[in-house]
Amino acid sequence: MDKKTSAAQQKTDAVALEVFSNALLSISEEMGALLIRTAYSTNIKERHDASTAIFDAQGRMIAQAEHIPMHLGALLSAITHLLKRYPKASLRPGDAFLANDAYNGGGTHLADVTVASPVFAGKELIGFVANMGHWPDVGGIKPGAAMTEGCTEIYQEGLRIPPMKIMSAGKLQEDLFSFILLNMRFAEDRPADLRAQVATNEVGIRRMQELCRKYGLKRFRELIQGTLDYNERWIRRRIRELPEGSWSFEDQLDDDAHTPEPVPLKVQLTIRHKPQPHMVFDFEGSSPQRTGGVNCVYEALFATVAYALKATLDPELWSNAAFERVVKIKAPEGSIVNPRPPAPVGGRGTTCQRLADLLLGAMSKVVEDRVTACGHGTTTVNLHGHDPIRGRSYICIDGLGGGMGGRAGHDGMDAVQINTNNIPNLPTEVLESEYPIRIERYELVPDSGGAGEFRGGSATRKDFRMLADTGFIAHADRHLFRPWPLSGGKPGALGLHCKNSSEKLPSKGGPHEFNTGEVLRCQTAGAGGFGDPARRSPERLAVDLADGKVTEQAARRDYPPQLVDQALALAAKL
Amino acid sequence: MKYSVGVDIGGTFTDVVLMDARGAIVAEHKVDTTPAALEACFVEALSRASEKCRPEDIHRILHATTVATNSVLEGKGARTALVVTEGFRDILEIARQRRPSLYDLKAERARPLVPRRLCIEVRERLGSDGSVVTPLQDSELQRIAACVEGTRAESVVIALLFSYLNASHEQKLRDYLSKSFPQKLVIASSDVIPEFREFERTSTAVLVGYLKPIFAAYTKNLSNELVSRGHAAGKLLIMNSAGGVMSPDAARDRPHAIVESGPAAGVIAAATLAEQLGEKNVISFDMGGTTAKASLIESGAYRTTTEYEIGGGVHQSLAVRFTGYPIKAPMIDLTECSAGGGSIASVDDVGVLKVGPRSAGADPGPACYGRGGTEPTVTDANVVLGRINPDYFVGGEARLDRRLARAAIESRIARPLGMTVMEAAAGIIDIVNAHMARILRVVSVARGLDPRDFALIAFGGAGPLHAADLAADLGIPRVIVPEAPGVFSALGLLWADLRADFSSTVRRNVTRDHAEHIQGALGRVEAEAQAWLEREKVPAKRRALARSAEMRYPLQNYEINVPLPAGRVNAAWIARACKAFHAVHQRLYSYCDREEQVQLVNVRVAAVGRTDRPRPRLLDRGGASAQPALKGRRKVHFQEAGSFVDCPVYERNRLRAGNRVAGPALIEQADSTVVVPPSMSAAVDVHGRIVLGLKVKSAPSRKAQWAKA
Repeated sequence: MDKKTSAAQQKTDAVALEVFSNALLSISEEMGALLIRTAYSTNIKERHDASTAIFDAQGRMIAQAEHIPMHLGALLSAITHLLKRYPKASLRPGDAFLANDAYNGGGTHLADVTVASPVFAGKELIGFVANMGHWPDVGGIKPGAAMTEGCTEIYQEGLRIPPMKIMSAGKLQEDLFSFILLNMRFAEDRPADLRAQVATNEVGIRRMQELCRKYGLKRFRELIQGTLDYNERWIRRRIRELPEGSWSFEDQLDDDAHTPEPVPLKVQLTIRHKPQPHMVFDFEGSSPQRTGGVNCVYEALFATVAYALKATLDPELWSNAAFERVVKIKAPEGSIVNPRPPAPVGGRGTTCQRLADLLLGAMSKVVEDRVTACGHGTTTVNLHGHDPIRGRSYICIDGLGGGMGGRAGHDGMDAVQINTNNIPNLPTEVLESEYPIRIERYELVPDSGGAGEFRGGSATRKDFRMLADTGFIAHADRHLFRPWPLSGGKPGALGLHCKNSSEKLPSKGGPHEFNTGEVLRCQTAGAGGFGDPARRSPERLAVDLADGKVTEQAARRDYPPQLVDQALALAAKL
Repeated sequence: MKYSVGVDIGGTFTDVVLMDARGAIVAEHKVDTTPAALEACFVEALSRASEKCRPEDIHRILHATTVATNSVLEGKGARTALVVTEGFRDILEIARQRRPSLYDLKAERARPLVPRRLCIEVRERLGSDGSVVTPLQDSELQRIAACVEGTRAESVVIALLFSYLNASHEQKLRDYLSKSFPQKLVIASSDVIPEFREFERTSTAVLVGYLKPIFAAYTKNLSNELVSRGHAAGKLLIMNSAGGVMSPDAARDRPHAIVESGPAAGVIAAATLAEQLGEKNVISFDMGGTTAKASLIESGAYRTTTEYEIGGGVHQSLAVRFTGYPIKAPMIDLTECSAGGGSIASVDDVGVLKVGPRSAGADPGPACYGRGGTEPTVTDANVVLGRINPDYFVGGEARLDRRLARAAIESRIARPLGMTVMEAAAGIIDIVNAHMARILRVVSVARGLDPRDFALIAFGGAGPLHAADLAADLGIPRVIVPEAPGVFSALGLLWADLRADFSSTVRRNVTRDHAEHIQGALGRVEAEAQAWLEREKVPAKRRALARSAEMRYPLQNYEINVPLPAGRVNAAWIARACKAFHAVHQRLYSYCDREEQVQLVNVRVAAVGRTDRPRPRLLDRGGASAQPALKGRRKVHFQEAGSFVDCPVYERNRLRAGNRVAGPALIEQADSTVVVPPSMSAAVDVHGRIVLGLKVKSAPSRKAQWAKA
């Protein structure tokens, strides 16, 4: 904060900032609620795979409503990229810009389509509003092309759109839009999505104008600055509570969907209190960029770092550009965490999940009690083909939850989405009604959660019987490297893809062809346990045994005999 | 004289009102709620209200209760076993695989109400068209019965895949298990809610199994208490979450439908008041001790949702769906936030003032209660600012200690921030208002509506204290404060119709090809609804069936509720139904596609038995001057003035119809205080309601301009 700021100013700010930040959040929330309600795409509407944000006139993000953490900060550089192509002086009220490119548009993969609009008070540019929604298809070699065989460059993943003026002074640029639509599958519903995204910004614009009017431009700008400064102080305050030092952590992805070698990831975390508390994340030593789609552009990396900070420093921290001030990220150019075009990025979600593990792992060396042991990561299933029953082509995307790592004081949750993902599953009654598939089992996997004082969460298994010839593209991980434990716990179980219960398939890539009647078994990883298993309470172990989440055999392997006997006796009474 | 009583058990207080046949409130009270003994609270509240009348003078007793929600949140329901399709034992464990908090690594998900050890897999399978893939063998029935025996469960719930299309397997199991275990409660999901999406259907059926024995005991205890106090059986009616009342027997059979009964009563009260006032569009705003709730009444109708969950997470003012216990039954659509009189204010370690989400509750309560609370709350701020009269809280039954309120704010807020106590207290009010403004916006603007076209009905003990500032912030032109705001929800009980909801999944496009199918489903559900009205002994002329449907465009995975036309399903009916859907879609989502087919997912029928609503009593007329009600003057802090202003204080009881009060002023009554800021004035209408509006004629709202044109 400016040193000249008077004490009087600071004390009114103690109230004004909280009121103002609520007003900002209220705008982004309103935009978010409107987008979710008005979009057509199931991804946005049902799975809340969407996010809204507001920015100041310099393009700094000042508030965000994200519904999955993957989007936290993913809109961060949207306006910076926009301003590179369209100088401020060229912007007019009623303009709106569309973008999806991961290298030039501020996106993280092509399916996330951003619409950004400038906000004017009279002739003065006072800020921007933007929203991002997941479109079901943006072209590319296959529906949902990411991680498909032969998809080795971003060009094959879909249409790349840099920030382009889609609305000019309130008028849709039909030439551009029809060009975009012609390059996508299932394009007939996209006008509805675009309309929703534009309308969402219009609400944001109106509300921002009202807010500016209420406070006056000068105070409005002061409060924006104050909001960023406050969040910065807040984050630094939390960092100061941590010890200074430097710690590193390593982990790896099974493969990149293209070449079968593991993909090493490494971070060196440094915490310094001087000159001001800050953190440095250095990813030197991580794999060079790969030809499979697991590359992760800076925005996605930043979103993951911001997730890890909110999760470990303070979940209430505001989501704004202040994170950029207190965190320094060093990501070697040309590496998997800062690829050069045209490296493909469609599978960045899998990498972000592993990066979140990596960051939590590094933080575990600083504040073990605040983090979880390693969880399952990602398992997303892409099944596609021609449905002879309904006479149409289909693509079915389903994500499976798995174990969350054990944590100080709590077992890890069973069968949940973790880290940057929080997307619900497809109900079996919906899935079977829409696709030629029958689900034969969907259940927890016993003994998949690592033993510990606080057990790792259990994995899930879902068996798909194909009622038509089907292609399967896998987006998963942790089939080779077990989810790590913390504080003396045991690791979680590996994930598995299996054809007809005998033929093992890799964690990523495809398509693998299934004939009618064949079965795909998808099993996520479990999660690592937290703390010495000998310290587990007999009551907790008893419930696990009674519920069959842990078998007696595994209990005898992982826990002291006396504890198991005691737990078995208790279990018999449950 | 005949009386009606409404007893509304809330989290902090149990409210009760006694109303005479002319619609006058004869008695109103608040008693502390003891969660462990709700029946006792009910009895105490009832006796307090009916001190001056004989049991036989009371002809209706209406009741809203938290017993169902408490049992779920505290895990105190019946031991329940669950029978599921083979391969799906973990349907409750997996749920929809979401976690309730995005960033809080310590968060816990709602634990399944049936632990895994009590879940039993049965060998059977239906296909997605309802056809039998694996038949249910008789030998399997015996095996399942043996498993059930071993669970020692009180209730058994059967929830099989695709039972909404073909209930035969569930029915076979239900009949067999009922016969084998006459003492156990056996519930089939297709009997509870024959709708698709297996987790939500199973969750709803499990709630019935889990709650029914608890609720049966509860209603039995209440009935016994009533009989022992000389009340004839049959007077008692229970509020449900959809805004209707039902007999205790009916409620016992549908305990999942009564979980949000108290908040629903508040919305019914607001909707009824809106109707009496001729206000079409209203936001109902209920601020109590721990939460503030907002709901929308649009064109006279309140909204229901079937996406309600008990105990789910909230992120960015939106529910994180699928993280609690979903209930597939219509509930009044409410948005709430943790902001109430008891919300605690604190300074964070970076020097910013925060309010909530923690609440001091009733015990120890705000610092000014003098029960040992040392943390300052919103109520303490209101006391320090002169907005609450410490000697007239709950009509003077409780004395508040202004010094304790001051001391708490001084030591915890003012000193750390280098502010005066007044500045700190005013800051607390500003911040809690900012939180509440967010939910008011979520219910209106996010649905494409402009708050400037709405009136705000403010109630709950704290509602009238904060409503005027909120209205000013949102541009809401009018605030209406009902006669007894503190017990307004209890009053809503007296105004509710008898109601139960029935449904069935159709999942067919609305075309002539499927006319017969749709007609069949409607016919079955309406017959069920009629049978219920019959059982509840509703006279024919008071019966009404309200048809609606969840509809969508075929590729959407998200339905909206649309009223269905009357009459048989034929070409004209189909055209009208589709038109209605497009129109609602347009209104809610600002677009529609009239060329697209429309799919009807669920038909829904509300069986309604109309209640006579007592006409509101006329208040004696007075002149424009409120002078006779003036009880004194004091210094009160108004947010818009930013300072203390010496202002008149009026006694609400002595106000007469036609009186006008210009701000700045306070109007005090036993159960609340109405703040009239300097820019506003208040008028008392013929029925004693207070209507606040801006003094200076504001620019007419968009709608008013249209109306003029």
